[in-house]
Amino acid sequence: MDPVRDEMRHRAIRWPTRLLVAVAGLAACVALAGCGSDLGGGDTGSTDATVADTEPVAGEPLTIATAVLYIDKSQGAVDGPGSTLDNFTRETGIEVKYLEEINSNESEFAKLRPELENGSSGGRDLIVATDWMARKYYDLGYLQELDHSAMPNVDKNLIPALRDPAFDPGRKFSIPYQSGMTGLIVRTDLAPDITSINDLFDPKYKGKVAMLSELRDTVPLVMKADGIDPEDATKEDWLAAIDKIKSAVDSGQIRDITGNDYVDDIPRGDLVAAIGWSGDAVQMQLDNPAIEFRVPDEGCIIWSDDMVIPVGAPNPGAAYKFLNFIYDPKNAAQISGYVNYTTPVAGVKDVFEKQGSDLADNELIFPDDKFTEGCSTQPVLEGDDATEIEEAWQQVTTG
Amino acid sequence: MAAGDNRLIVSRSRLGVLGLIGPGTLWLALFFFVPMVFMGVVSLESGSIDEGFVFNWSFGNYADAISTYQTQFLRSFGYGGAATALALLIAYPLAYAIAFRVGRWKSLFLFAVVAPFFTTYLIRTLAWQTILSDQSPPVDALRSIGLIGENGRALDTSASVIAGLTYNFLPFMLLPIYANLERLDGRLVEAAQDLYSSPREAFRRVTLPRSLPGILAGVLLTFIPAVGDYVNAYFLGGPNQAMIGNVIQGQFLNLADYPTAAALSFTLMALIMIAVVAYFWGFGTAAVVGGDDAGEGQTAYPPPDPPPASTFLGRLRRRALTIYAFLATAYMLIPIAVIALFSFNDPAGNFNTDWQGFTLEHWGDPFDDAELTSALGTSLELALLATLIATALGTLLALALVRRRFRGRRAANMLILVPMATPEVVIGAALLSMFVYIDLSRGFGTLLVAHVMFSISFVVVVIRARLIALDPGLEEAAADLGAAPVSRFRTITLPLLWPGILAGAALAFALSIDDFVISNFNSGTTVTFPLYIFGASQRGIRPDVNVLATMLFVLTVGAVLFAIWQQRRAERRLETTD
Repeated sequence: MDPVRDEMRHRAIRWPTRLLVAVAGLAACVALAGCGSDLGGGDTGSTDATVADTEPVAGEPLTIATAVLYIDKSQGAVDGPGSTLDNFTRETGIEVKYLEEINSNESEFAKLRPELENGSSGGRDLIVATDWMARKYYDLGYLQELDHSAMPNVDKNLIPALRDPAFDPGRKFSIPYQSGMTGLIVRTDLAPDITSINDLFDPKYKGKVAMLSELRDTVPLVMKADGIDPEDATKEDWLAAIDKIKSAVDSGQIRDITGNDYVDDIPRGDLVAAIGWSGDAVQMQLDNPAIEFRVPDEGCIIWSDDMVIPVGAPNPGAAYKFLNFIYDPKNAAQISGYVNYTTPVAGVKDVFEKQGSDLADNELIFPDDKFTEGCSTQPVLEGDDATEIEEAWQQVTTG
Repeated sequence: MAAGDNRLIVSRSRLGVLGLIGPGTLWLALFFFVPMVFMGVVSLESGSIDEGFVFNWSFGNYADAISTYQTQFLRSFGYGGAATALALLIAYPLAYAIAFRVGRWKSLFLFAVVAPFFTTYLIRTLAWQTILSDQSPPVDALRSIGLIGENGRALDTSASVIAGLTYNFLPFMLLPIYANLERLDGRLVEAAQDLYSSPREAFRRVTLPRSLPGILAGVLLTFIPAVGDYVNAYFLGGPNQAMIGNVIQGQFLNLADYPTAAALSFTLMALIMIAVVAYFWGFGTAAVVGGDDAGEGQTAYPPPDPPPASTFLGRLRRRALTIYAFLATAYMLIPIAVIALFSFNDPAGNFNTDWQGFTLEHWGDPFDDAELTSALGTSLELALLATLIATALGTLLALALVRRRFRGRRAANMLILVPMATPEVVIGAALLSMFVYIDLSRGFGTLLVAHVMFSISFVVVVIRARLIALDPGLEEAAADLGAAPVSRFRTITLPLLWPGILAGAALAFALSIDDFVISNFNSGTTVTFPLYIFGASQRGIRPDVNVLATMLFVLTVGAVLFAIWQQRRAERRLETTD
């Protein structure tokens, strides 16, 4: 019972034990990682997507994942009496679980990706995603293809301009929900002569202009202003445009590159102009008529927020019913009257005219061909070029 | 018990220690350290989302990360350090004043300062945007006195980001300093003054050293999360003010470059921990776990009041700290005032930026918006539950870390800080991956788990600071008189610890109500208030939101006033029965 020797023996066995524990832990970690590091182990894009089943599951709800304030409300609720969702339920008998969970395309993607990799959508039947994000989901094999025979209203009423976009010819996997234009939002009382994207580089407005952080909106517009068609642009064209923007940011010419924070900055006068979205301008105009959406001289960018059916959707048949429902001009008009973006459904203007609403004359909701002359859709970026361009853009937004 | 070792009650029962550290450690091990191991593996992968990721020990990720983003790393430490220093300068006198100069209104001041943080930071920061916008009266005033140039601006500058960081972390600096300072044995200060030292000297030689544990705790709780912050740079700064947190967000969300994002995160955490270790080394770990010297008072003996003055200026000086307390509290409430003001705005559109006209309409039916109200309800429920659990676990953990000796105690004291240093986007995504892997469906449950996880560290640090200032002599006396451990805890330790526990709980509540990124990943189909607000902010935050935020603040302060009133009644009743 020599306490000193006991202590020494105790110490002697401590170190090897510690080492053993450490090594075992590390081995366990690597093993675990091999078994299921969900963030790694990506799937290569699969193009053999299945077509979504058209029969709604009896008694099951339709679950839609979308953004906030993207559908009309009645008595404060999205499914209040007389709202679009309520009308849908009454007509088809299908209940709707309406999830206003999407803040941005990227955050929704990051949130859903681990599940989608495993073929599950977390209970979602429809997801709203902008054109380029819809294409990304599809390329990674996360979407089901659409059977158009289950949604006759779509084929009948989808406006011609959106029937065959470059990113989804024939609308195999995406159906537009709301469309919009990206262009210039201008305080006509403070900067009446801004009509082109290049005017944003005018030193007269140093520190009073902003651009969108959306790569596929801002850079194509800057390229168009320099005479380059985004559809034909090479990687070098993209990088050159990004460089031009970076210099302007570094010099302080461009005050900020963000999401639609301009909705606060422009009314306050912190900005005199920004690259922005048409729907926001409609809202801002209500409080300050001096705020205008202008299609730049060289044209705007047209985009859509589409609805897609993910893999593992529990009730895709109900999704078809919903898409068919909102492509009825009557229902589309109800949504449009609330959301105020460009509607992809033909015939809505007539509905507004019959109601005597002045929304019928709003050229941001019903842009005619002259208004959208020279406008392009968001180009598709793929492969290593895409990575290089995206990384260069990151340097600009987080300098 | 060894002689001279009367700071600690050496544990007789190892089971006792296990009981104290067990639950908290298990929670953190399962829901923080395991996911972070996943992330560690990811940081050594290479590839892309299209082609897949492959584990191949790419330590190059780290080298690339550090060399490419040097500027942002340096900027982050710069901003974080500046904000911490400013917060300390503002918070210390405020904590002193609340502890010793405002008497029975202590709780009111404390809650008035912390309650603004029970509204989502997005709304607070938008309020600051309004206050700091180019044409606002305050900014015009700053321009007229020359602090801002003719064509200068306040927003989208380094100054605005640092100001935002300072403001948003002030409660984290204030509460631990207060909890620790309140236990100061004023008799020592009195003794110093009796020995002819001036008030200033007495402060420097008696009060300040004894408040070091609180200062240290406050610095840790501010500096560590501030360096990794992304919110303030996002809303109050431009591209040239981007911090490393913004870079990591971008890498993760926009580029889906998970290995780089993970490598950046671990680099950030390592750098922060190095700074912390250096700080400990400079101040000695005694400040963390308590030495023989810290705080020996049993009941509260506040330091003596300054001597009565006869001149007006003298009277002003005497009341200086109290005046400061009012001013500093007013500063904390400025965004709330703006939020409340705009709840009466009457915009025609969806955006509530420009003043259009006064209306009571939104106050008439604040719960009109079903989705907004339901989101708020969910967040409140979540915050209350998370606070309860985190505070309980954190208290036990703090007790073990300060009062018990066990192997690895020093390491544990450091490790408890690591969750605070981890960027939210990384811990959120890692947790999600783990939940998906074990097939645990996401919803309120996983949210609760995540919220408790990131709150525990904060609670522990705050309570630790308070505990250090308590003299275990009282508990020892109770033990000598035959009290069992549980009853000792209930009648002696708990009441003495209570202000610290309350402070920790307040922070946990604020953290939960504010959380956006981690919640976003792990909420499944549940929508919380910050999630809803963030999404809404892109389409328009109607005044309804301002109404709810103001109501929340008023209710909190109202509850505190009620509690004070009840306390006064109880005291009066005691007096009359004498």
